[in-house]
Amino acid sequence: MATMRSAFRSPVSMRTRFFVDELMRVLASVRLAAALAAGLGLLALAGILLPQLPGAARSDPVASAQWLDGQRGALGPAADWMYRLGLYDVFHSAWMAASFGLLALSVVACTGRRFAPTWRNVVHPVKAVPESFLLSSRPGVFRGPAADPVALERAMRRRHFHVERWSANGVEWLFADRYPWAQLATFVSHAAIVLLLAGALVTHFGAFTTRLFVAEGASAPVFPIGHAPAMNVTVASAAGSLDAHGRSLDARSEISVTTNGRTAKTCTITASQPCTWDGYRIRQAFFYSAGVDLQVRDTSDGRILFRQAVALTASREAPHVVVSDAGGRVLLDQVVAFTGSVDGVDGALLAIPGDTAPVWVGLAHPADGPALIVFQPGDGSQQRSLTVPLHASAPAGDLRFEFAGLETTPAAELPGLPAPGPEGGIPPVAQLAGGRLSDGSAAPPVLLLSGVGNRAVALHEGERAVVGNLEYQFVGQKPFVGLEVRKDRGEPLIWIGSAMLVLGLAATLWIPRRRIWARTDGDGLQMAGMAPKFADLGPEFEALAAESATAGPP
Amino acid sequence: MRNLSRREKVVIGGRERPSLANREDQLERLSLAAFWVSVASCAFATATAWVPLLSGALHLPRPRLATAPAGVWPSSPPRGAGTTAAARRWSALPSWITLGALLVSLGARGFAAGRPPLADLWEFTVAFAAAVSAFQHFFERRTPGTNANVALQPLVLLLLVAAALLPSRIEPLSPALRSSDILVAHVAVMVAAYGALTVSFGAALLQLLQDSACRCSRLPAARRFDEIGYRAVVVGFPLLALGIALGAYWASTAWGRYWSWDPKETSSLVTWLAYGVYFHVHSLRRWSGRRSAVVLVAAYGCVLFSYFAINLWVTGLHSYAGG
Repeated sequence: MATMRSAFRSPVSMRTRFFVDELMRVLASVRLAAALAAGLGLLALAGILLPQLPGAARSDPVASAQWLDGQRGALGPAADWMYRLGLYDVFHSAWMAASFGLLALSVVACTGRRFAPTWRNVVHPVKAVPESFLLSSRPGVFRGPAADPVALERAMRRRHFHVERWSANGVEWLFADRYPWAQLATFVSHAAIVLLLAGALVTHFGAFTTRLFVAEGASAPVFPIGHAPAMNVTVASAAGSLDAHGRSLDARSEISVTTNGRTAKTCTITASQPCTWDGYRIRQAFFYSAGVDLQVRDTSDGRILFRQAVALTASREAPHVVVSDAGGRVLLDQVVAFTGSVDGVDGALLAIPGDTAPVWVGLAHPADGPALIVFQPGDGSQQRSLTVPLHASAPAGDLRFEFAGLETTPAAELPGLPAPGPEGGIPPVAQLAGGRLSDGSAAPPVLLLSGVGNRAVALHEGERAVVGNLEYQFVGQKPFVGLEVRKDRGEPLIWIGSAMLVLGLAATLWIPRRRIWARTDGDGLQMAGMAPKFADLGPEFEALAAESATAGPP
Repeated sequence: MRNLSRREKVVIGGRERPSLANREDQLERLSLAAFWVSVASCAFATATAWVPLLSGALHLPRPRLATAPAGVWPSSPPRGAGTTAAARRWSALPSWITLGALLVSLGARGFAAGRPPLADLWEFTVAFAAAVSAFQHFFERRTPGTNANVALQPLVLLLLVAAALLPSRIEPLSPALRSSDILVAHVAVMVAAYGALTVSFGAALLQLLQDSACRCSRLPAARRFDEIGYRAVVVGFPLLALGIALGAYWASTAWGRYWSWDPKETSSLVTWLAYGVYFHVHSLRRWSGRRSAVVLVAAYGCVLFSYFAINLWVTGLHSYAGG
């Protein structure tokens, strides 16, 4: 019945079958595999050589439009074509996804077509070959003197061959197979490619990543409020060091993971040593030393209005000013935080000890380099005005002003910081000076607060200053730690796939698999064999013949 | 707190430290001296490999490919076929000195820095040259009488010249590069893979030469170089896969994800794909021989791009490895 059904297949089903067979043949072809690998390589190369849309801009239409404007400046209208073709986002383009998909199909088709015959070849090899196969004079057939079949079998076994021996019509036949299973390793490496692509898909769609910016002593939730289970990361301590350019030399943090209020794990993390808990990997993405613990108290009732560790993630210029009297005594040595702007020049009023009138100090940027502008309003001889270039000094009356350096200080605007006076003025700004000055000397950290009164407030660690009815306290410097919490269910697939790929390739290419057919009678020994490309069977045949001939003819 | 290098510890002071500093400086000087010895011996090895070919002063017997009686399996050509024993000795000795000097240079450098000498571009380039030299000797033993050193010695010399142009001062490591055995294994395996693939490139160049009109009668036939090229890729291709996998494992620890499409890792993938293309086309009858040698040369172009161009001109997560 089944035969009749197959014999009378409709033309449509025959066409379908023909089409499927052809498709499988094309997908499994070596040419397509090579073309796909070459195509993927060229696409990836384009991704390296062409500018690529930054990751942050990919999901932000405004940012990506701005980025594309920049490219138009370089390439003109061609930039739009390249954008549409996905050449500015090669690794996330449809081309790349389609190529990888086609590669997976090709590998599956290739494996499907080749597996059954290879399996048969491994499990049920052709052991008996016709005499003509060994008696012909074609190249590749070894001919030697008559050999002892038992000795030949022993010699083969010593070389890790699995040997079968039988006799027929006075001729001794041997079939020897070494590591035949290594032929299957190619399927392991090909399956690994599919597994790696599957792992990448799982990562793409299922990986969880969040970044936390946590001050020393503080904690941050990993998930939004209400997520069950709740998971928090607390940074107990953080330490690190930066080089002269502000690059992190080392960083180490003690952290604890709490879930539903209980400490689940405590560990030390570094840049190359993450902490793992319940599949979540917590790693230190960066260390940031410029944070300050700031407190504001209402002096009238003692209430604490503000207590926060603030990360100073922006930066501002601040001149290092030294004022000395006529005798050379230093009256003021300070990095000045600007409180306002006059005619486009940022500056601040400075109160100089021993001098009754305040001095306005500003920073100008003329063409020949930064200059300190010093101005003291007054009548007649009391009015002072001078311009001091960087690393120079100039007299003004009884005082000498030195522009000792120009610091780039970590800073942050603090719109929520309580300030005396009416709201709506310049938002308060915190700047952290000190650490290392431009002349290379170390200085204790000084917190400069501007926008909290007419003058900037400079505070050393632990110091307090009262402005109006508010008391500002620089409690201390607080480092911040950038943490990345990630859970990627695709990773196990990637590691299994990687191991399979490497082991599969090594087994396919490095394991010396051989298959030998031999016949021996009184006339001599003939051997032929199969081996991977360029494997030299000659020395092996010669050694086998030499070892088996020593026992004499059978 | 900070994981200081041995050099920094010296600066901090202590009664015994000055002698330690002196020892480290001596080791660094030894490393550089050994490096220059390797440059000189490599230049000599290149000359001894090329002069007989170019001058024709030595009348070398042609290689005897089939020494066995007709009908018998043609075994490998005997060692030394195609060259005299004297010429082989003159060529082999300096190349062995080159390898030895490079290993001394790397060893002294490692002791001076207190870490495996695979952290910056100078160290990587010297290790790369050592790997090429080691694989040259390995394949000379496996496929004797091919004179592949004619192409490989100049390549080692070029690598050493490139290293000489790079800054060689020992610098402290960035945090991500410290105390990671996986990272050391990743770099070492990549060096080994590149070494083997350089041998395949040299063989491909000689194959193309022997397959052209201006073939050299003192060198074996193109097919012998096809064999060496293929064998070298057989060694290098799985090593490259292992190196990329180890790099991905380390990246998942240090960068938080196993793959970031960083230019270096992408170009390594491109290189791996290029050698995958080579394996596939080599099995095609119409593509074997000259065409597959061209693919091999192009694939090695990917190695050079991945190695030099990415390290020196493209900014990425691997930038700290640059010179």
